[in-house]
Amino acid sequence: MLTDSTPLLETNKLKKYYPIKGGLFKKTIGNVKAVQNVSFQIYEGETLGVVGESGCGKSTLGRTILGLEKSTGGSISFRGKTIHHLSESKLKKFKKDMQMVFQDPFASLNPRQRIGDALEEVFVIHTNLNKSERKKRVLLLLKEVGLKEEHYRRYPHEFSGGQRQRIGIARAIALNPSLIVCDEAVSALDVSVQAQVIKLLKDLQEKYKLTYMFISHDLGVVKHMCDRVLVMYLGTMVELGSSEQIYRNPLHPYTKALLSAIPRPVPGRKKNRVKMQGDIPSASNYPNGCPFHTRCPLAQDRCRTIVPEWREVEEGHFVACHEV
Amino acid sequence: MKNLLEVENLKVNFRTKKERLRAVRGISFSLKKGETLCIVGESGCGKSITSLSIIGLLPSNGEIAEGSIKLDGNELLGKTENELEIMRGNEISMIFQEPMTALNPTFTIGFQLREPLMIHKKMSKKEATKKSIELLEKVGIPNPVEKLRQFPHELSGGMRQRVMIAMALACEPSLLLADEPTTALDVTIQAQILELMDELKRQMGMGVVFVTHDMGVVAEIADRVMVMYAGEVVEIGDVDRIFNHPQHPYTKGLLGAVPNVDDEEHHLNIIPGSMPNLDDEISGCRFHPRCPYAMDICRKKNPTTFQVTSSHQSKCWLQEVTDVDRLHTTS
Repeated sequence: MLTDSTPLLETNKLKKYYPIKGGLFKKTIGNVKAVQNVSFQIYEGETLGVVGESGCGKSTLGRTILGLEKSTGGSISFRGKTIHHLSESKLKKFKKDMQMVFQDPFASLNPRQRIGDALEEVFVIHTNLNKSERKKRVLLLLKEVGLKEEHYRRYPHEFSGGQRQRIGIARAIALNPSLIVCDEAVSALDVSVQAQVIKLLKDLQEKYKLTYMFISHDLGVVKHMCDRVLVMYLGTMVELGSSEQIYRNPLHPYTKALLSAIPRPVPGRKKNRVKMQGDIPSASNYPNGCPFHTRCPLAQDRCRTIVPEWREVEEGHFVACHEV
Repeated sequence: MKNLLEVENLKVNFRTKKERLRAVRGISFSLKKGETLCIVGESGCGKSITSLSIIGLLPSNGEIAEGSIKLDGNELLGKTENELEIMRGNEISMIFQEPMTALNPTFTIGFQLREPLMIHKKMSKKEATKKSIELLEKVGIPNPVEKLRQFPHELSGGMRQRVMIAMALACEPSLLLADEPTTALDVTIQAQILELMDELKRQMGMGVVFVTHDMGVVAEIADRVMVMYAGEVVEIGDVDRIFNHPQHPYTKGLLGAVPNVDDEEHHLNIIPGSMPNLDDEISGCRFHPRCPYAMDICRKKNPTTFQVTSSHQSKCWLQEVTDVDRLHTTS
């Protein structure tokens, strides 16, 4: 892991609330707190994994960082410059440097546009290349992600899931960005295809010194991809540490429960599950105190009233829990 | 023990405008009472089609071209729609991946739970309500009385899947088909549901056919595993054999491609290429273009099924080679 002094991306107490409107005049009567006080750094060349159950705010976090959602509070800085307050036109030059790969690339491709044209659009918007130069760049890109020249003239429906994800990756790396946010990028793929795409992402990272923020609910894949892992629950950070710290020595009861719930490909293994009660509460009905106390096996009185503080337990290993 | 389910040389085709697609190409397997058989494979290998054929719910352009499916010795193929309706939900039940598509959004949970009981078991509404509450308790739903009055959209994903299981088990079927029932759920909820299914299977002694692509889930719940590739069964055996002594190169590839959380030095193994389309005619073994061990014979002749041990079969020519080797070393 490279840890120079200034992180590539840093957030400080980042918040994203969605208002709940009600009543006669559609006043705001409450907030869905999708992301709450999230502060972390991503350093150049590393992969930060963000994990948690559905509804924990991990995707909203990724989208807010890229400016696809306007943040409600807190700050985001990229290479030392704050970017969360910038207007759309000023943000454009940063957007070249930050890209996203989505779970379902098919949803972001126009079914009536050839893949070659779809990829060329990136260069039309962000560069001054002429038609033949653009085509050259697109063909190079296709090769880079393991597709063939003949795919240039095909339509999105002619591709398999794995190939579509390769197109999504091609589009993300087209402008040589430094940060790519992968939102469940390999979750919808079959295992054998998943392994191929993971390898592609790793190869590209090495070749272009890319930095990834890897959002996923699959802890096996995250372990494989990531240098550091951030665990989120109900919009807040519960634990952050190096991959080794999180998987070898998880501290927060939620992290422990998550890890023990992964089905292991070992038949007859003894299950030592950390039991968790019920489902994740709705983010509009936010619990007092520690957000996890409603399901926590260790919950004490103070967990119900006092929000646990975020503290460093060992070097680079942070946790928010009273009982650790 | 007698077999609960026997599938013999099942072939399923799909009619399209252009041609006939062979989705399942002659597969055979059996299932005993109280046993869980996992069907694994990647999308398009025919695993879901196999389970839909058993319960007689193939889409309208699908047809069973050949073969036989016997439940408790009774042939299911050739039964009329009426006869099948009596069996569905009664002797055979099915759980799907997405409970929201299987539950009717306009009826309460209570109505949908009572329905199979009143139709198949001829219960009165009062009896059915009582039984419904019992069922919901059994699948671990808090406040069952209140839940009966709620609609599917008012429940979370995990709760909906529990309701589906309760519905499927209402008439105590002898065979339960589960098609990726936990794929859409979070790992913590998945763990709860798998445990619940295992416990209920034990209590009720039914046979379970569990379709999944997740090798981790397979290791947790399967007694036996059937690996499918491009419409064929490539390997079948006890769960320990499949995980510890896999024979077919595809099974080995699948196991190697699963990210392992516990192993520090684990490297992902990559199966080159991708799954063939249903209409791709491949000479010889259907896996040979992706197989690292492909030999001459693999390109020419489709392998027969070789017996590895009495309960372990692999459809691969390598097996013949090892048989010959074994002969040489013994002689």
